[in-house]
Amino acid sequence: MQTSDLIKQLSTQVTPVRQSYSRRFLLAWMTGTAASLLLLVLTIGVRGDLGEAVYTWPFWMKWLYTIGLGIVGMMLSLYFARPDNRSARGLWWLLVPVALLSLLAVHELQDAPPEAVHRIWMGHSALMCPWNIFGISIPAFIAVMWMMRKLAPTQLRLAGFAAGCLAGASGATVYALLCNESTAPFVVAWYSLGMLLPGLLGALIGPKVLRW
Amino acid sequence: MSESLFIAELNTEAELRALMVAALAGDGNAHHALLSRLAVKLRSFFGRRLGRDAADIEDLVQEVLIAVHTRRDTYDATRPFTSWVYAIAHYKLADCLRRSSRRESVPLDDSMELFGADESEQRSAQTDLAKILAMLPEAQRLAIQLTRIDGLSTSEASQRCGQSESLIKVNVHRGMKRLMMLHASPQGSG
Repeated sequence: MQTSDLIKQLSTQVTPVRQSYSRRFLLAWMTGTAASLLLLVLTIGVRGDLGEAVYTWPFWMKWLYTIGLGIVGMMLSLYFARPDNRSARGLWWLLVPVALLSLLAVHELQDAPPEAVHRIWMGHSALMCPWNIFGISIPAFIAVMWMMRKLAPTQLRLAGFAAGCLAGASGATVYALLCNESTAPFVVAWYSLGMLLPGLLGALIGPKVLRW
Repeated sequence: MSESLFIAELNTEAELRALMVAALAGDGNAHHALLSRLAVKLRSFFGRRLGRDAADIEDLVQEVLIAVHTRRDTYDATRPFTSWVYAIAHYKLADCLRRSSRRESVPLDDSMELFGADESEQRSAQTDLAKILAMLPEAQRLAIQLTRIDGLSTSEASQRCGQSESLIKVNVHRGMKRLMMLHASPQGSG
């Protein structure tokens, strides 16, 4: 096609752009996270004592951590969705929630009797936890990667990593409705790993699947 | 490939941004004017970097225009419009180069080994030629094979392999350059 024809065609029906791209991204993310929640409810279900658990500190420790990381992941995703944003410096923000929870974890371990240390780290679900989070986050992962591709990222690896971390944090937030572990070292080790897996997957496949 | 050069070439930032803001509000005429002006600038931007008659230029121009159109909501009106367009143009150019270099990405180490082994084994010139040509991307190999070895004219070669005439020329040129590089490097490194 001639370029002049293309331009004519693109200019015939120019719809006003009223909403920012972030609305589109948020919508996709919400849909994906809802699907993750549905996946959890339909497969393993939520913990039986969820009604009482929401009044306890361990539940909110997990949520503060995963939601905190989710907010950073969302900001980073929106940042890398713009073509003229290329700096990787913002990634350091991901370490803020990790550092805060690590402080808490160190504090918990210092107070613990030596024979309890292993139990504090491993809980009863350490080997399943990261994989469960990874699995639960897959619907959210697909949704945010799909939308990221429709925006205009130019740093595909970083955009994939940011979107993957966002999906991981969303999956972990959902998974916390099931998980009844209660120690900070457990969360900082296994939740972090579970959220990192989708992030790494995003970074790995970003250059391929986010190309536009 | 400096950004400032690109920006200097684009007309005033303010003018283009005004067109973009109007286009975002739904003004088709402003959108038309904006894309037309960008097309001219993009053509020379890509032309300078890929060689004036490279076949990819018009494709790239159109790809950027379509991206500017379909992804226009990622533009933040409080920020420079030219940097936004430059980022897209630069991305599309890098993507195009990456695509062609993936086809051309013959691991240089392997080819050196191949040259070394060939010398000692005294293969026939025919085999060597085939081996060396095999290191080229298919399109370049074909273009050189048809025009330089089979002796066809550019237009005959174009009919034979389906590449456009200008693409044949580009591929012969790039292929010869690459052959020279491949040939020079093992000797250069001893």
